[in-house]
Amino acid sequence: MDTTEHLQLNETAIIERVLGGDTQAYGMIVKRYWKMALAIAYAKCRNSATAEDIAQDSFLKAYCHLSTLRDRSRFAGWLTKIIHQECISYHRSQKASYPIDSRNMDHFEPVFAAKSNPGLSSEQMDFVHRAIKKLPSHMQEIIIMRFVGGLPLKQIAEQIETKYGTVRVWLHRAYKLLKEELAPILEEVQS
Amino acid sequence: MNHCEQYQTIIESYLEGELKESDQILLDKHIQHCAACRDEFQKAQTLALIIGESFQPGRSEESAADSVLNSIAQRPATDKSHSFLTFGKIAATLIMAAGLLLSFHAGRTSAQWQPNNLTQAPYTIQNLRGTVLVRHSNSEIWQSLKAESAVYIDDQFLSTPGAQVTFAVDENSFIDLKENSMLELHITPDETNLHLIRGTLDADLGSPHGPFFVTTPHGQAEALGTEFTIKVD
Repeated sequence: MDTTEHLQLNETAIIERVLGGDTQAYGMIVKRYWKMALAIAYAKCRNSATAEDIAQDSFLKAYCHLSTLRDRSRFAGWLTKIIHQECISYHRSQKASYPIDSRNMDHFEPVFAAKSNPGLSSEQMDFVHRAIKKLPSHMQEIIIMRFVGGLPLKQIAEQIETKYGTVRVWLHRAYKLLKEELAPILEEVQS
Repeated sequence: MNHCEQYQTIIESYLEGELKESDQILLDKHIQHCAACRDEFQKAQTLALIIGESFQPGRSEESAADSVLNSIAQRPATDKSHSFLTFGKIAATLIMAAGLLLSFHAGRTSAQWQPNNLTQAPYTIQNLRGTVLVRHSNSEIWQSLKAESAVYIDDQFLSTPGAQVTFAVDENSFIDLKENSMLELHITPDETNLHLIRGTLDADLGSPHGPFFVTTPHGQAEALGTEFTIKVD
């Protein structure tokens, strides 16, 4: 049994515990996916406070609807869909005051505490976020699930119920785009 | 360059998070004397690193987990359960079904109902198997649903044993009402609310949708993912 399978089995067992009434066990799920959830929400809304609210609300909704998750091993993919819906709802409710047009991204504050990222400046982090925001939505999620959430591609394909070959193409296309877009930072960091 | 192709594949495996230890050893040896592959691998490593680092949350995972658990604890008791969709038996179901069937038989002797002041719902009937009854909001009469029937807002549907109907919301989204089920359809410009009185409803929402709720006699569920099943026993 490889590590991925082991983690998936553990996660299934944790979810069964939660469904059995062990609410505290849900904390383990939140810890595992908090960073990924926050990153996906932020990539879509580009506002730190909103991203935290959306991530937290998404975990709450996931908890309340956990019994509807048919395949217990697919929590991450399901959570991603919930976050996506929450972001759509948020954008609808804020349409008048919160345009999502990327041309207006300068209005948003830089996010993700610089203090926890000694290797990157706030400007560099913002540059990375902008580059990811330019990707199509499905590629954003795959890049974040892979490099922020740390999920291997095989597991991502299972989570989002998409053929492995398709997800692989998306990942490498997104990587190619990011490599070009982030070339200045790659040079800075590598030098 | 052909010699390097196998190492490009190994670098791709690294990006995919599926690099085998044996391949890692091969790659490490190769990049000691191949500047092109060394540069490519370093770029892959650096890019993975900076993406991961750029999304380091301001607060710890532990703090976030505590916050979520506190929110769960503060919710009203009726909202805390994540399993409120596993319902108990509804004793009145059989009585209701008998009443509906009586109403249906009474309706068969009346003049055929005609739509009047009803708003058509953006749903079409995709598959219809067996006998499914429909009652429009301005009528007390139950009629047999036809494959070509229009669907109206606030319609009620009742599927008989062995019957099933699929409503197409759009080309990617479908709602299946299984046998022995009763459903009310409430659609407003702001939200969709399917009230499942009894039976089973399968939904596959392949397209982005607005607020989408399924209510039952036991509570309300908001559709968040794309596929779900709700049963009321």
